[in-house]
Amino acid sequence: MSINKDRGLEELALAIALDLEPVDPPDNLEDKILSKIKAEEAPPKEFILTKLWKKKTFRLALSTTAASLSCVVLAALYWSSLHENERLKEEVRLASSINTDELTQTLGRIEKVMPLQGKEGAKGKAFVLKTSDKPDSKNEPRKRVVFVCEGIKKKDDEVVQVWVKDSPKDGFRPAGVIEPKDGVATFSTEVREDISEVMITLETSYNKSPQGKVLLASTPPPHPDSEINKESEKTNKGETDTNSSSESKVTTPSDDKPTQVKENEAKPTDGTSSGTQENPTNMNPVEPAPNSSAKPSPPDSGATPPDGGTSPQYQSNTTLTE
Amino acid sequence: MEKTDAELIELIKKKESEALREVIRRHKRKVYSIAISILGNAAEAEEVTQDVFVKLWTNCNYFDTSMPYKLSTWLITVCKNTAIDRLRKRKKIDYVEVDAVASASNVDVILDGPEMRLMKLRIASALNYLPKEQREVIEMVYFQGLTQSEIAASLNIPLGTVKSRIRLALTKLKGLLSRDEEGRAHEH
Repeated sequence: MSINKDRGLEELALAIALDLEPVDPPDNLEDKILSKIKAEEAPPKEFILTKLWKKKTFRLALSTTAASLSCVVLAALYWSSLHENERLKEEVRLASSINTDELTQTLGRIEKVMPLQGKEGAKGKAFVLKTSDKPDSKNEPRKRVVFVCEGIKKKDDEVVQVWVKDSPKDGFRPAGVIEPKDGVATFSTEVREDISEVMITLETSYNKSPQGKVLLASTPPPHPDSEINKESEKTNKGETDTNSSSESKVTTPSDDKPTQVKENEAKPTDGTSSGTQENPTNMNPVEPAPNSSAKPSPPDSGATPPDGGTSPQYQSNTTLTE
Repeated sequence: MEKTDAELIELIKKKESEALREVIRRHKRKVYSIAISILGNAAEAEEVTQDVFVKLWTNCNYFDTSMPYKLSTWLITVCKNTAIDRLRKRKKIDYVEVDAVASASNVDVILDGPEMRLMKLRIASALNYLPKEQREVIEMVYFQGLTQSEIAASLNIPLGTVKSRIRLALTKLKGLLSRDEEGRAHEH
């Protein structure tokens, strides 16, 4: 009995036993089954990264790339911080020491340097710069006074005020307020003419006249009267003290006493001359007190004008490079 | 020379798909017929048939060709179980299906029983008592492996005629075998 016949008889026996009628299977059943097997045996579709992650070389490459990127980022951050540090250092350096050459080139010619004497480590200089060659016909400011100070200590509720005396005959007028940072501050204000003295005091609040402790002050020029008195002293060989009563009693920091201004000499002037700070890190322009009504006196008049002295030469500008 | 089922199984174990193709060609009608007899649904029967051969491919390593049972037995058993699982998934088994399941459960006994060889001889003998046209279609279906459509085309007769001839032949064979069994019983 052939294999086919044997298999046929077997199937026939089964059909008889189970009452099975032969049913033709669908066409291409072999191909369908083989396709199904092929589909089931195909590896499950993995996410490409998962597949790649299984490769050691990919993990190594990825780790190396990540490490490299981290190094680059860290280097960039370090460089950025280094650059920022250098920039801040430069700002501090500029704040602590203004390059007079640059000032000379950009702002004009330095006419006078007024050393400021102070106590407790405070020191500074006031530079009088000529900013305009125009004649003074329009009463426009032609000069600028730049203060560079360091070692200034103040509390939060205290105010550091700048005072300017336009001529020996005038009193101190408020020129503005400086806000030192880490003791360093620069400040500038425009003036029409030369100035006689400058002073920086520590006030409990914004004042129209200096009342607080003197932090820095310029050396007062010899008063003409004092020279005369000195000569008269020499000639008379006597000791007179006429200057002591007529001179301004503004004490230098060496006195370590609050500034005392005689009422007839240091009339309070307006604080509208708000200074301009070139270095934004240590200077905040401060508005004058709202109740301040005194106006700056013209330098040539020697007294506060009755109308309040609204001359524009005492309106401080906000830039150094005018 | 045509390979035996055992030889084909060994080739399938080596993942030779052509061997599986040959096994499918040999046994697909048997498996499909059982599946459709249990499920009564051509689409589901096809799916079950596919599953049976996929399981053969997947689990061929567990198939021990040295054992006495045959590939046919394994295929029909798997087909029966797979079809029953499908019926359970339906959660609704009507009377006919229960009957089909009950019949299918005897498959392994029929195929692997000791009387199988005798049964084959009796069937081969009984075929001679069939009318010529019935014997012809039976031989074409079971021995030559033709489909009913192919038989219809070959004999130039309608498909329904082929089916009716097959049905009549099976009924007659069953009767002949019953009578033969009764005669044997009387002799004993």
